Amino acid sequence: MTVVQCTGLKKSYGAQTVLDDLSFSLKEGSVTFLLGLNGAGKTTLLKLIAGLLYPDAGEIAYKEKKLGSLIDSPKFYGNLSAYDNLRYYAMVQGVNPGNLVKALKAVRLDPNNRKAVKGFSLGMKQRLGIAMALLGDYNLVVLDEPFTGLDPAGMEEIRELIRNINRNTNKTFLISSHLLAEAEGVATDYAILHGGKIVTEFSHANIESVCRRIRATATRDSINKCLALLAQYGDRLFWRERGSDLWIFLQEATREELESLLALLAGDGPAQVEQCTLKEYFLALTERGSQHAFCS
Amino acid sequence: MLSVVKGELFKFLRQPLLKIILFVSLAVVCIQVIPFRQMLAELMELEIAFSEKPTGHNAFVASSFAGFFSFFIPFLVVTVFSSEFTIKTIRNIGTINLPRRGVFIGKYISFALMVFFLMFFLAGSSTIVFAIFRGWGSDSIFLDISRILYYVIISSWREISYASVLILLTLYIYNDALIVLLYFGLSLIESIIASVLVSLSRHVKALTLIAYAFPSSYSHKLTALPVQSGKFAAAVTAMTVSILLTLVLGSTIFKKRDITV
Repeated sequence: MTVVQCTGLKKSYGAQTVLDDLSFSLKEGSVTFLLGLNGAGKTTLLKLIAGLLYPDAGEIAYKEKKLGSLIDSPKFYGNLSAYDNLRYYAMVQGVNPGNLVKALKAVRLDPNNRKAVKGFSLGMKQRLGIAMALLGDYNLVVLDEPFTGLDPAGMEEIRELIRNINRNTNKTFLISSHLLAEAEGVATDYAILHGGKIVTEFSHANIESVCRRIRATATRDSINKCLALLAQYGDRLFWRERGSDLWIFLQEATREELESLLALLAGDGPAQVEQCTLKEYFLALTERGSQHAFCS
Repeated sequence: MLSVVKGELFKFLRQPLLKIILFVSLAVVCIQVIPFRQMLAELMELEIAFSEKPTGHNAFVASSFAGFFSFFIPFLVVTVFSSEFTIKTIRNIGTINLPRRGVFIGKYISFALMVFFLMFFLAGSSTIVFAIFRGWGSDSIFLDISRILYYVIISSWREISYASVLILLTLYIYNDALIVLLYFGLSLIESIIASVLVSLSRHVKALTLIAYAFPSSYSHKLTALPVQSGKFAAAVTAMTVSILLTLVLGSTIFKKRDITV
C-alpha cells in the first residue's frame, strides 16, 4: 500500500531548478531514508510532501493526509515552555492533550520543566521538534535531518524511538539525511536524490545486491569500454576511479550482465565482483555526472 | 478554524506582550484619572480638566482613554501574524492538517478577539478607576454603560479595520520591526491623504466616497455622540468592507503562496 505517491514533480526557485520530473512513492509502514548530497533538494522534496511548498508541475497523492513533520531546524515560540509549545500545536490540531506528556517523555524531555524554549540547547530543541512530529495520530512522519545537534546517545535513542513507533504502530517515516551512518539499524528503505531526481530506490533487504560492484584496473581502455557501454545500459551504469582501481556499478544487474561485464574488463587486468558499503555506492552514484563529463 | 482561535488565545495569554499591555494600560489609566493627572497637567502647563457634567459622562470620556490602545495594535499584529514568519514557526503551522484559508481566518478572528478583550479591559478599568476616585454620580447607569459598550465595540471594530493593510503586509514582509514602523508611517500618510480628501470633497462631491477608503476621514464620526446615522452607517460599512477584503485577500494569498522561510 502506498502512503504518498509523487508523480512528475518539478520545483524551481527562480531560474534554479531543484527538482525535475521527480517520481517517488512511499510504502506504508516503511522507514525510508532520503539520501542526497547537500543542496540535492531533499528539504524541498520534504516541504512539498509536507505541504509547505506547491510543485510547479506534477502531483502528490496521499492515501490520507495525516502527517507530522519536522522540517529544517526546529522552530518554536521562545517564550513558552516545551509543554506549552506542544499544547498549542495540540490545541490547533485537536490532538488529545493526554498525548503531550507521552510525546515529551518519549524524547526524554521533562513535561514539568517550565523553562522557556529559548534557553534550550540545539539538541533539546531537536528532541522537542521530534516530539511535535509524533504528537498526533499521523500515518506519515516526515523528519528533515532529525539527528542534527544530538549527541551519539541521543541519536541512538531517537533511532530506537523511530524503530519502536514504526514497529508498534506501523507509522510510515520519511527521513532525510546526508549522513549514511544515521540510517543504520533504522531504515527499511532508501531513496537517493541526485540531479533533481530520485536516481535509485531500494529496500534494506536488498542492500547486498545493490551494493555490489566490479573492481577492475583503471586504464584508459577500461574507461573507454565503460563509456561505450553507456549506450547499452544508460543511467544504470556508473563508475568511480579510486587510485589504480576502477569501481564499476550496474544497477539491478542480472548475473549474466555482471559476468559479461567482468569478461569484457578482464583483458585490461584483474577484475572481480565484490561487496561495497552503502557509502561507497552512494558516492559513486552521486559523483557520476562529473565523471562522465571528465571522461568524455 | 476554531481550534486555531483556541490555540492562538492560549498562546497570547502566555505572552509577555499581554502583561506589558495590561501594565502600561493600567498605569496610563491611573495617570489620566486620578488626581496625579491634574498635577502632571499643571507641571506641563496644560489646561486639562474633567467636565463638571454628571460623572457618567466623565466615565464615558474616561473609557475613551482606551483609544491610546491603538499604539499596541502593530505589536499585536506582529505577535499573531508577522512573528510566525520571522521566527519561522509558520513552518509548523503550514504542515498542520488544516486548510490554510482556515488557519488565516482563525488567526484573524483571534486577533479581533484580542483587540475586543483589551479594549473592554481598558475601558472597564478606566471607568472603575474613575468611579473610585470621582464617584459614579450619574442617575442613568444603564445609559452610561451602554455608551461605554458602544464606544468599545466601535473602537475595536475601527482598530481591526485599521490593521487590515498591515496584516496583509505581514504575508510579504518578514521583518517585525519594519512592520511596526510601517504601521506608524502608513497611519501618518493615511491621515494626511484623508484630511486632503475631506477638504476637497467639500468642493468635489465624488471624492466623498473615495475618502471612505481612508479611515481617518470618518473615525471621528464613529465616536461622536449623538450618532449621525447616515455618516455612521457609511463609516461602519467602510470598516466592514476593509475587514472582509482582508479576510478574502489574506486567506487567498496565504493559501496560494509557498512557505519558503
